[in-house]
Amino acid sequence: MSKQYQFKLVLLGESAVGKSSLVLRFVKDQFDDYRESTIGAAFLTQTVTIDDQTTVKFEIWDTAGQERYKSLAPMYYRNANCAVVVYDITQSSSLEKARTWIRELQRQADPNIVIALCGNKTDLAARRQVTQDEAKKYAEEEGLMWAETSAKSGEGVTEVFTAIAKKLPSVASPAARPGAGTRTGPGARQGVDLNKQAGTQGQNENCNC
Amino acid sequence: MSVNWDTLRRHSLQPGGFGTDRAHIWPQLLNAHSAPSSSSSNSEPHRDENQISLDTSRSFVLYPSTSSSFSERESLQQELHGLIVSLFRKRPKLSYFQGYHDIVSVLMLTLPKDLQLACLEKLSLHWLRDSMGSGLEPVLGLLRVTKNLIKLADPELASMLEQSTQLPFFALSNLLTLFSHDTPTLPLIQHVFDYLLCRPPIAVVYLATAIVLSRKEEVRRLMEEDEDGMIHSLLSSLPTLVDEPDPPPPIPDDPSTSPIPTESSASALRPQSNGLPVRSSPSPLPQSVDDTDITIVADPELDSPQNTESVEQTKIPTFSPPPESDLTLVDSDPADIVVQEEKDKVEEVDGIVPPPEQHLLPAEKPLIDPEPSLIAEDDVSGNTNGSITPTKLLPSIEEANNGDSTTQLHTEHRDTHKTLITTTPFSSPSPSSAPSLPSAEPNTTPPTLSLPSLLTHASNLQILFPPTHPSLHLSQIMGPQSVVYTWSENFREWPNDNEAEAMATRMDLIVYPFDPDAEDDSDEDADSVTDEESYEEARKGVHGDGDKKREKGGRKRNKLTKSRSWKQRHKEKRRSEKPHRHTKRLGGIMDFAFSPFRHGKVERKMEKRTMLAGAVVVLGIAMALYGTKGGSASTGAAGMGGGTGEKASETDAYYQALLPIIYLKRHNNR
Repeated sequence: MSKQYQFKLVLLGESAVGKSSLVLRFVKDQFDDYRESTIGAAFLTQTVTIDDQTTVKFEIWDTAGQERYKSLAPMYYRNANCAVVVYDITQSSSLEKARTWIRELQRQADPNIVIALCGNKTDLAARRQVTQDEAKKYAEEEGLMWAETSAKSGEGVTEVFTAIAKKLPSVASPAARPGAGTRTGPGARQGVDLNKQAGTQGQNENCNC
Repeated sequence: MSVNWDTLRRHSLQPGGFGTDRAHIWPQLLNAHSAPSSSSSNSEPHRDENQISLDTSRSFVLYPSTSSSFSERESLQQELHGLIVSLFRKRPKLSYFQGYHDIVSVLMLTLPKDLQLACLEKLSLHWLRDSMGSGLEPVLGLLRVTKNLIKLADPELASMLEQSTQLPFFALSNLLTLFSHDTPTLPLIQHVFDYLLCRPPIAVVYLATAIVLSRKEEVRRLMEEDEDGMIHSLLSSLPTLVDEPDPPPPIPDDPSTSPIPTESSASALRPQSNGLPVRSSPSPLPQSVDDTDITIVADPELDSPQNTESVEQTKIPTFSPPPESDLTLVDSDPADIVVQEEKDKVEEVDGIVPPPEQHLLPAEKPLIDPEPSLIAEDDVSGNTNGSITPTKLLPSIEEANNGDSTTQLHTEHRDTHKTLITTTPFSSPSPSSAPSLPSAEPNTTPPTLSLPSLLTHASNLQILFPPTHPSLHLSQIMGPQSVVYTWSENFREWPNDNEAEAMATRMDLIVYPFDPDAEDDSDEDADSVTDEESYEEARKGVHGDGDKKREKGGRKRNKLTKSRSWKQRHKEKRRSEKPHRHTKRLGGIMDFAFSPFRHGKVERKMEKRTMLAGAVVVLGIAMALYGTKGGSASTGAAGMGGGTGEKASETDAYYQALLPIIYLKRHNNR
């Protein structure tokens, strides 16, 4: 019997870190060198297959990055099951911004929300300002998933979303009722290095329960 | 230099809009002069310059052309960045918002270099100012107005939308960027700007709403498929637009089919002189002659047992047919008056000065205007940055032609691309994902919409539900220093540039905090507070804030709109109607009028039942009575045409009993 889950995912992060590009890569496997800025928010969906039996459909809200659009964000993360907070590895200020988003999510969002911190633009590693160690350490402290990606090359993108899907409580916990959100199961707050995990198959190994 | 707003507004509805003329029309509409920009020597960087760079360096994605080379695009981006930075260094109190760069790119690609900064400055200070303060609140205010307008125009659609979103956030980008962020080609967005710039800033709300209304069926489909998020995607992307009239132009044969009695009564009722400022065009063609006018005209009709089904539908709930009964007359007239009221208000608020007889002119030949052909030519060469031709941008494509028999030009391009991205449930390109919803792809062939008819509908919407309409709650939402209230057709009434710049920082005077109760119109008994009163207060608020000119200007405008004061009309209105009645009724009509975007057949049928016919029926009884009591209207039709300038107060006395007379008298006064 196959199970289908549906989850709401919100993308947050500073302007021009590549939120929309990340989604575009995930959803259409495309990349635009010029991706116009997002005004307000955009909505997209994509379905990932976890295994023969299980698929997860993401309803993705891609938000605008400029500070002035910040007041709209609660609308999108309020009922989100998961959040991808993106920073640009070539801009250390963008990690700071990511931290404020994460603090806000921890305060305001659903306590069970699964948060992934995502360092984008690894194709520009030559201009790197944010080290992997720094970001990973922070993620571990906060109990976040963490990964680096390149929307341009596609590196790591699908893996992030797949890992999130696997981590979502109702997917991870067989007891949870399929189809609904993630109300059941404890919040998963354990640091996970997605980059390491990407090749492995252990879909339950990160589950707390 | 004075602007002939009416002419330009009509012109803006034609295919191609202003064409190449826009390069000199826009600066006039913006009251911009290529002044030597001496004061711009301020080279202190603006706080938003970093964000500006982030956005300009990824600009020019949609236009001028997708095929722009890398270097072309890069030099445009630099130019854009320079222009925006100059503006903010000159006006440091303004703040940049994402999307502003899209607006500027349209100006930059349209206007001569020496006028760009001056135009941008005026546009920013007097149109976009609300959005250039510290936050989003003002545009959220406009979203609230938009929501109210959708509810007025199509309650059913409104309730569908409310199920998926509290506010119509999907319209945010359109309101904020004047459609420039999402319109796929330069000629299209230029035409949209033609439309907007010759209207008050609130016009953007009407246009955004017209677009939403046009997509009702698509919304319904998504509702059925239970795809809430998709509704956002659908409505935040634009339909496929073509800058052409609706396929089989329905209008021209309409007048010819209109019954002769209509014509004669129209001329009988047409005032000899309307006392308005000189109009340039001999036939005072209103900006919106087609459907809505006819709709209005037909709406309150009294006779015509041969109503069409659809018309019947829209009017059934409100009144019953028997024409002879006085009751029926009284019953049906109020709504009529209301419509008229609203038009008057449009004049005052927006300075739109529709000819008073506009709804009495079904016999005018609206589109037989010298302009269209001329503009159609312009259209072809309509890009001031000669690098693009519409032929390049508007390849005719048959494959996307969904069911429209006429050969349609179709704007290819990023729009389609975008639509696919955002509205299609995606098949999965990435290796680890699999399409689990093969069913979907609901919007692969979005309907094609004629831009001129879309604009016309937006314009009609503004006439039907003007900014002062009580159920819009505009004055309870937007503050006195919003551009909605400070903009004027008379440039001398504008705050000066420095004042305007300072206004951007006063959020509290631009938009009021959200108060759900104040805007709750569910019971629709909006009698208590009308927006006219609050609007007056709002204007006084501006005055109280130290701008005496404004108050004076307001009065002047009131005077301009002829004999009756707002209050006077407002009183009549209050007595004459329960707002929700006409709301529902007009709502039904809008609903019906909008769905297919072409309804020549219906128009024709409705036209048969013009209000004029009804008015004539009343005329005999009414004028006789009125003649005795009021003692001024001499006789029948002569009195109608003569315009005797009754004092409005008299009408009050007889109002309850003599609604029809008052209705007629209104025309008399004009």
